[in-house]
Amino acid sequence: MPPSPRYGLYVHLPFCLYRCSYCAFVSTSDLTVAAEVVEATATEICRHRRRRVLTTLYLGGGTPSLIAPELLEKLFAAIASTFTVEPAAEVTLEANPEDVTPAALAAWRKLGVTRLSLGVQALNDSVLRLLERRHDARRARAAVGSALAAGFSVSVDLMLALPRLSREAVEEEVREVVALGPQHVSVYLLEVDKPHRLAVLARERPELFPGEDEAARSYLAAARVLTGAGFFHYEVSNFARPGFRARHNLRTWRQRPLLAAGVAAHGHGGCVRWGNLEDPAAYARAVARGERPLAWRLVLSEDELEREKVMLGLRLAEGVDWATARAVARRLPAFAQRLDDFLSLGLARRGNGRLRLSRRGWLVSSELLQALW
Amino acid sequence: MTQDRVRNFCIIAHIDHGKSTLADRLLERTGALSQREMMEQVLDSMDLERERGITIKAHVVSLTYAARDGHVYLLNLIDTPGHVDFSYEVSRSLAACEGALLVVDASQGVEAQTLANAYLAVEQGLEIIPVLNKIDLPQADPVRVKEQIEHVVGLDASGSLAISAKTGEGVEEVLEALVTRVPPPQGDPSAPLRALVFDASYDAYRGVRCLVRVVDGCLRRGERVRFLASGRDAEVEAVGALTPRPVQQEELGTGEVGFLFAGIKDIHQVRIGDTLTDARRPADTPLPGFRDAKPMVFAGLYPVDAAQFEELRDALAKLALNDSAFTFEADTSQALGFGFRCGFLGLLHMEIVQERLEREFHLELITTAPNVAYRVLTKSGQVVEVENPAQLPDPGRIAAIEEPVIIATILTPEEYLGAVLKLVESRRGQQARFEHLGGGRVLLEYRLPLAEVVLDFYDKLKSSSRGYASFDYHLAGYQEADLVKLDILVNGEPVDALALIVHRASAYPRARTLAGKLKEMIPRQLFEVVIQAAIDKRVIARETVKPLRKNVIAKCYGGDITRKRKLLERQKEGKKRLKRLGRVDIPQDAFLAVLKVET
Repeated sequence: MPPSPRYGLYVHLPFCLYRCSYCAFVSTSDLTVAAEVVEATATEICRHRRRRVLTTLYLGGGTPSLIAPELLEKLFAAIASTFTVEPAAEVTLEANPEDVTPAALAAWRKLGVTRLSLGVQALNDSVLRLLERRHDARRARAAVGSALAAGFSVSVDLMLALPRLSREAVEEEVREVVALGPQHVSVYLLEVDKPHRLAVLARERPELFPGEDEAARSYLAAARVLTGAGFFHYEVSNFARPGFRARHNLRTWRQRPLLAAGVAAHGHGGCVRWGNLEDPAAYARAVARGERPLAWRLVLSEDELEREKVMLGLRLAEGVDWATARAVARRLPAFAQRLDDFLSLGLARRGNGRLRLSRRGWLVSSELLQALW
Repeated sequence: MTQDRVRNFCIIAHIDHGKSTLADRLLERTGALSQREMMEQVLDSMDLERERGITIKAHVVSLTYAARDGHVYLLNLIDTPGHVDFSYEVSRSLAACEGALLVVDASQGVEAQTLANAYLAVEQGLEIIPVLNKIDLPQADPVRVKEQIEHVVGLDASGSLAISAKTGEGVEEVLEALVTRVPPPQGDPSAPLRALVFDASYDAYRGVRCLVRVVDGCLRRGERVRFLASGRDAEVEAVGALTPRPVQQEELGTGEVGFLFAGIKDIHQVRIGDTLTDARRPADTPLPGFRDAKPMVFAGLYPVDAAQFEELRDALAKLALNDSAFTFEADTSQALGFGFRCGFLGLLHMEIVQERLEREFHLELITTAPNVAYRVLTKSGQVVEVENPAQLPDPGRIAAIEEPVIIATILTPEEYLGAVLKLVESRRGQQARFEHLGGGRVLLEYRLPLAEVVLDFYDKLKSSSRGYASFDYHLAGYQEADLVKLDILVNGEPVDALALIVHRASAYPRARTLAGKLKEMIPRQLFEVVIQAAIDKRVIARETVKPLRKNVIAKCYGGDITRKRKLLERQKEGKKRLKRLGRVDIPQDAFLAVLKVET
């Protein structure tokens, strides 16, 4: 008997007390509608096909750690009644350090959460203030410590290329993060090209921000420190100790099916991609009417699916299989040309039947991936 | 109508001195058009002409005027293009007249174009009637302007007329002066036909329409005529007058002006300045002064979208139908792909063509920096015309290079004299005349290489004089100069579309600024990009664009896939404007960097 397919489920909880100055995710600060929307999400979950096997579950946001445990319980009950959650499933919850209290940890533990993704972002108070985060460095350190102590697997989000942070400061900060003991670290370079408040600052005080070269050096330095400490750089912006790669996200990068529920949640399976309504009220109304709260749905052609596979695969250290990359290159001369540039400049490598980008290649990967579309 | 009742005249003026308004007023007074038909400035029929206030093609209007002497006269107004680019056509149009109204704005006084055109009229031996226009303006100073006309232009201004074309004051006197002071044509009605072709345009239904002035004999419908310079015979299908509506007639008599259709389909078979004669009884000698109008300024025109190449070809062919001085031939640039090398009479001509291509034909174009035509004398004794810097022969084969020169006439208020002198001196100008005109104005004549004028001279002149200096020029042959080809190399590869010919003395600063400008314009790439400027393979300036170190390291989780893809699509869209050269992506703007370099 073939093994039954396994799924990931992403649940989006679009609530934040405050919209951070750098954030582009869909969220709302109107917590009064939270209960209604979470219940609608539970309803949506219950309408999924019965008893599919979940191997990963991810509660993202927004700030899921803001949602009261009683509400979360309803969600988890809905999930348990609809799906079969594997005993060894990875169950991640995104949390802000200021929400990590002993009571919250206990409640999450009880619900079956195994992994916390902590939005630490920085360990420098003035930078955290600039990012308009509601925690300070001390709170962040404490949150990592207590989450680990409570038995969670912990991932730390770090943001690089921040204002007023030199490469040396980045290295120091990463070393400090390593010392806190998380099993997983996600590293991002701040993007200030989105229309948020930091972009305004970047325009008015460009000298506060590291330049392109400095940002690249910070990224490479962070990677050096992390890999030196035993982390595996398995994806463009993700590092894990052995056995602690984010299984849920890997499903996305490997084009494995991912179910989705909640406002603005996106899912994919096979050649289909879809996204839910982004307005919480509209979403809740659609669910109440018994409709699927879809905003859009896209069916990819065989060719598009292959191109997406290359785009996603090249984000991973394992890369993409060469046969696929070559097939795509045959169809897209511009991509072939770029790929040739990448290979000859040592930004990409071929070996063991796979195509991989180097770390420097990852830094400029948009140059290659643009040619795919 | 007998010759002694015919008057052929033109109006010459500096831009905005009121030429078109006066023409309108003359039409109105003679009843050529009813009030209802009067559109502002009837004569400039192209949109572009009306918008820019310039005349690009010659026009003719025949007016009938009942003079105070009790006779009715035929007044033929020959409107000429006023701009220097078209000065050959101007001189041909003037050759069709016996008299000229020299219109000068009484508040502004004599300007560069007034002078240039007045000299042309004097050369043609025309009777010139100075007309002081805009006397209704409070700042009008007819006395001072009269002095200027006498002193600067060198004309007797005692009989000048003070008018306001706007209010109509004095217009009656202008008509009378045309009758009494412009001499009637002096042709020989019994001699073999000789008619001057002074304009040609293309009519989609009837072929080429020529504007002609009958000098001797008579031009009749149905006769066979011969174009003396081209040797071509044709049958006269129609002749007539323009009132300004075309009115067909059986003939155009001696001294008369009008249109002609002779079944000619290609405008390039008709040359402005040619003499038309009777094919059966041809005249021995052509009318004087024929020469081909030759393009002096060249530039490459390339479609932004390579798929528009055929459309561009069709559009150029259509424009050329109506513009015998415009030339184009297919050209390939490594950098810009397939396009055309086009020849123009001058910068205005080039701008007009470009604007019409974009406006009337909806084409998006990349235009390379314009250059002049050089004459290269090779060591083997050949003379080679070089219209494209990339085609300059090897320096080892060159004995000498000659470049076209102009005589520039500049009038400027004294307070800007310093800045204007500095400008012309920096452009290798040689002073030929310097004169204080009184009233705080100075007249300058400079001999300048045309190449120094084609890029930005006019703009610079205007900005260094706050718009007060006026400028005109005429071509004055070729002269030898110490010129070199400046090659631009990107990662070792010469970029043909960026090559330019410069004077050796300015090669170094030009090379440095150009390389610097390109460095700013070329985005960082995966590898280092080296920009070099070289003369004869010797590098004299170098800049590097450092390799791209990072673009974006962004999250890409579940929902982001589609977003990420769309972002990449958008980024790619932005890259469509890049031209790939070898491995280097160069933005299209960079091909105009030459224009943006301060000299």
